[in-house]
Amino acid sequence: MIMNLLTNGEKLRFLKLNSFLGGADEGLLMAIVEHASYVEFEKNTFIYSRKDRADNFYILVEGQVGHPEVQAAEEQFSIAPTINVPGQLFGFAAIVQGMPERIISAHCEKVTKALVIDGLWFQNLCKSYQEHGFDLLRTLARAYTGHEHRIAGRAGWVSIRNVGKVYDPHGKAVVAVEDCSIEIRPGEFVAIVGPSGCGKSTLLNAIAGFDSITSGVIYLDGEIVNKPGDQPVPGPDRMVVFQNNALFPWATIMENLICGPIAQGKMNESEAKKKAQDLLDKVGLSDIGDLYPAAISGGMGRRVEIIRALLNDPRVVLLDEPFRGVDALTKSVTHNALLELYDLTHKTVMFITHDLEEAIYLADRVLVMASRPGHIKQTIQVNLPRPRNLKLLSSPEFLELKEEVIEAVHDEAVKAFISGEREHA
Amino acid sequence: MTNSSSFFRSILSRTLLEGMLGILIFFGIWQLARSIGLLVVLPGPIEVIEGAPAMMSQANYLLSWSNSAKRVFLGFAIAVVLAIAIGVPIGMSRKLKEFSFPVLEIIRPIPPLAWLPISILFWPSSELTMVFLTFLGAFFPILINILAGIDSIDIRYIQAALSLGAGKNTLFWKILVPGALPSLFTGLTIAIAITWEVVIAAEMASGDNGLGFMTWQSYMSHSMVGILVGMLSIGIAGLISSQIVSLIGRKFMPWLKK
Repeated sequence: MIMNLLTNGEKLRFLKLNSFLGGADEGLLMAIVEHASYVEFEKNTFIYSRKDRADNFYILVEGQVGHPEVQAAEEQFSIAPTINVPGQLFGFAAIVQGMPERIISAHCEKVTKALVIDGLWFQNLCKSYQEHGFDLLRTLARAYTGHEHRIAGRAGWVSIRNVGKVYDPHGKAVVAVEDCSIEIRPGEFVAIVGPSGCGKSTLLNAIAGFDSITSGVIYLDGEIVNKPGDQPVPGPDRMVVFQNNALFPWATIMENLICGPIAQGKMNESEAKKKAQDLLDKVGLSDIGDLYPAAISGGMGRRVEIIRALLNDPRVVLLDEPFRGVDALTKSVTHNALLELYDLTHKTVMFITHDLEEAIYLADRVLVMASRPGHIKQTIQVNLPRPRNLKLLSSPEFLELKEEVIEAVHDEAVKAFISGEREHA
Repeated sequence: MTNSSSFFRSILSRTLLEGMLGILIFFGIWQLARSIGLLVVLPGPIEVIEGAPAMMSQANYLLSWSNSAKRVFLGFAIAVVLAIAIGVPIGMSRKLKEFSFPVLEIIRPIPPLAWLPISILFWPSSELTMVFLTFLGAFFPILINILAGIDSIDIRYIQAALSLGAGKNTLFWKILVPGALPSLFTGLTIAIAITWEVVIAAEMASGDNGLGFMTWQSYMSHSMVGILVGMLSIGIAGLISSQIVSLIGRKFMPWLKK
């Protein structure tokens, strides 16, 4: 039942009760007030159910909503099992992305009245408020992402919070990355694009554990994997696929593939071989197991490296410009191989590239990174359906996205170009 | 199958034939030069071939081979062991490298033969002197190449190995050793050639047996043919040694492109 019995002033009051929105800009809140509808829900109905499309989020005005799937409230940012305090927000999924599925349901335990706000509209509103809006979205995203990890049990939640890296702090003090914050949801495919030297690889190395950071924290599934002062430790939960083959040239393809799981004692040799051969078959490389890396082409090598990473059952797969320098035809074969493997295993993927089309084609979300200092300039949602196919490349949605990304990157590229020139002048 | 084996046989004989042709042409030019009037001091190839069997059937010919070979083998083996024992720790520890590198770099340029006077004074027997010089000749090329090999290992292999869960042991035996092996074998190939040079020179200077000594003796007894036979023997000995190193290399490193 839609009721228009709340004045704008009263709506504003309820919005301000919310811990996330309370401190937001007046203008932003007023816009929400204008937009929000006021709805009453009957007792024992479901406002939304698991697997529903997440369109709206809600601010409680009166009543009680329970999340049957949530066991117990944990830290400050997680989702409570019962919403009964006026101003509490529920239905986070709508805020995080245009169209994910609900992972929990909302059940009215009493007659409930709430403000209903369209998620996508809210995201766009926040974006128009620049830094302030982004901050708000980010905080809300953290709550949801962590929750998704704990409730749905999906692994691979990467949380990069205010990370900075300064090289040679007592000497030349080169700021590679500054105040970078990214939330990557479990199973999400995120692409990072940006001009050369903007710090993308620095971020990747920090997540992988090859490099330290000078400020901020990096979490994986809620555990700290890198913080300032730490000597970070790489591990099989964060596998990296490099630019040029990092396959060991002195071992056969099969030996390369199985060495990880065997070294960690996760599988015995025959199991590992079977799994490896399985994946090789899936990407059309059944016969190369006994060859040495020198005998296979670049495109094959990349596919093998991706398989090697996946065999270790990582929580997140990090790819650092893996298809750079591969010819266009081989690239599209390798893309489809990667997407097949992604659809199969649904690991969290962080993919760094220069190729904007590649980024849009593969990813759920494209982060545009700017340099000097390195920071995330813009996030572009890719709402193309999965499984992706090559026909998408000429669809109008794809071209629109491409335009958006090009525009975002262009300024940065010019800036990087000019400052690069200045350095060498 | 028979097609391919006869094909290979024909290829082999082609390569062999080409090689032999090269040698024959070399002999031909040599003979021609003599006929024109150049190189009068040296005997012609025909004379050498005629005189060779007489020389080779002498009792101490085969003995000369084994004596020289023993020195080469001993000096080389000790050099390999010590170069690895010293080179690997230095390659892996920056501190150690900073300490030891200057010392090594001062000693390295001294040619092995410059050590002859000190060796004669120091070592009780001339045999030990010669083995010592041989060792010196082989040691430095192997050491330098081991250091270069360790240096050249792409950091991404180490990163990949760490990500895959390699411990320190695995990192050493499965990454460092195979990674440095090609450079090591480059060092061995260079070193084996130097080893022969040093042995021959040392034998000429202060030995009383061996291929070098035999060649020197021929000079002393004015046997030109003897000198040339000696030289050719040394050349063949060197060739066989390099081939052995090469074969061992191919066994240890099956992944290198043929």
